[in-house]
Amino acid sequence: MTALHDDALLSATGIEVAYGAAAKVKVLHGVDIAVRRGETVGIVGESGSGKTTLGRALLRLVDVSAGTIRFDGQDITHLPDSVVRPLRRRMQIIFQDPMASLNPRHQIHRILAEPLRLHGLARDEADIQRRIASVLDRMSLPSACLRRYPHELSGGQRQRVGIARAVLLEPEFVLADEIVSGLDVSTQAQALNLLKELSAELGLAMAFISHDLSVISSVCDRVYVMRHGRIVEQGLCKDVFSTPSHDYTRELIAAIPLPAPISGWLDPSPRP
Amino acid sequence: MNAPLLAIDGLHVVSENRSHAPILREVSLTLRAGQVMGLVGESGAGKTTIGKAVLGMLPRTLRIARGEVRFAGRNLLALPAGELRHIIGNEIALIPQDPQTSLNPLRRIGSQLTDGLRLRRGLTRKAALDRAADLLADVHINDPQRVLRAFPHELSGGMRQRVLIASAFALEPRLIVADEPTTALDVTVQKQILRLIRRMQEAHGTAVLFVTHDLGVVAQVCDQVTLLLGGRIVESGAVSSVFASPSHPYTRALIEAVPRYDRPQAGLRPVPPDVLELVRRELETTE
Repeated sequence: MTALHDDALLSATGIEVAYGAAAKVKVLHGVDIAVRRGETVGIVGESGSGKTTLGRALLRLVDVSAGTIRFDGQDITHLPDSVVRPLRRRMQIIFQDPMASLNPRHQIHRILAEPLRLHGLARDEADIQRRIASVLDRMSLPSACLRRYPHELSGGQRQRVGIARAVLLEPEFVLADEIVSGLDVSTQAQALNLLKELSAELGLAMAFISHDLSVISSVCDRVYVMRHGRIVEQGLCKDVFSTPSHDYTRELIAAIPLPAPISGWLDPSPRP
Repeated sequence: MNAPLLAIDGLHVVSENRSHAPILREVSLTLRAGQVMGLVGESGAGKTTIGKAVLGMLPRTLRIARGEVRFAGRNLLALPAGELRHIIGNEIALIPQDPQTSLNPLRRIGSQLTDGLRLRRGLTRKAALDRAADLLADVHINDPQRVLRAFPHELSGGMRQRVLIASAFALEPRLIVADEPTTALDVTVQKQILRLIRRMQEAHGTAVLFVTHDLGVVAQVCDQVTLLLGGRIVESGAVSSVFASPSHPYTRALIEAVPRYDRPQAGLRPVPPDVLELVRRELETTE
């Protein structure tokens, strides 16, 4: 594990997060996770497992009550917001529901251009237009959609706008939180393929949060399985899915309905 | 061969807005007593609309242009409102998608579960509560008395879905429309609920129209499958044969688009453009 954390772009150790009055409700109980450059790691778990909170903690979007988060060698756990802000360009997030994360009153052009201006990434307005045109092309989005509002796009298009907004800022780390769970399977496959290609092209480090083990297995190199605020199992996807070592992982896998009839699938699964 | 319990024949539903776009195009299917049929397709395919047509719950924005929905030999679309109300509720029930919004948040589970038993079966309050407790035990709720006194927000999502299943089976209907009943649930809870629906359905001999977007759920739970796209049936048949050897390229492509942990190397395969083009051409020829 230490080797994993040594050469990681993003590394978190002993993360605890507590909510509520007097921080009584602990939702993460000492979580360790590392993401290296060029690597996509999956974080899988059911509702209440703490996977979304962990993602937010990694980006300093929620405060941790214990533990250390390092980004590119720097301890960012308790940096003041003013110091974190310039780092935010380098660590982007793609949200689950683009309908909720894209401003409904802004046209797509403004949604894409504003972060570029905010972070002063482009040389001038012409450069902004160039970058937007190029990312649209990469996302197979028609340029006509720049003058549209989020609600005028399809679900798949909206999600690609969310991806475009994140990669426009040339991040090094991207957190994708359940980004395909509302999409039809064919649209989902398109979005995931695009994300895989992009992360390879840009050498991104990516954390991919999902409740869907099958999606994780087709996108990620490594996986962390979470339950009740703890990581119960981790490893290479190919190992974890073929020979899971924890009972809970086995239970999760046994609960995935594959699109091929398996006789007796509904029967209570025998404890292996 | 006995007559089907449900026979939908040439059902054509159009949108009532300016476009008059067809939502269902000449849909025909039959369901026998005790069978479970999966109605599956991507969003906008028309699967939910079929369920709503059977339940007499089509929104005002949709209009049935032609076709029949025959239940036990009677065309529901031609029945007077009173008779329809009698059938829907007594003989056809619904398991809704979202247990969060389908239960009245201000009423205890007990009073919600006993409505039908008292109004439609004439049971006393006491007798209805006893029956409701039995129903909750049937859906593997360990402490029925506590749940009967509980308000919906005091129960987990999985527990609420169990309550709704108990409610659907309360009047011993012959047909249940299950509208994405496990979509909002975690996979481990989903599996328990799917098992429960199947066991209850087998025990009572109830036919189920199972609306879902999840081909995996269809494969593991249903006997028959009807795959829709753009309001039209693309393929229909026994689950065992459709999944083993789909006859339509779109069916095959959609099955292959589902990511699978057991073969990640197969990769993610969106439905190929030529298959979509083929389906689009077929849609035009049926206009």
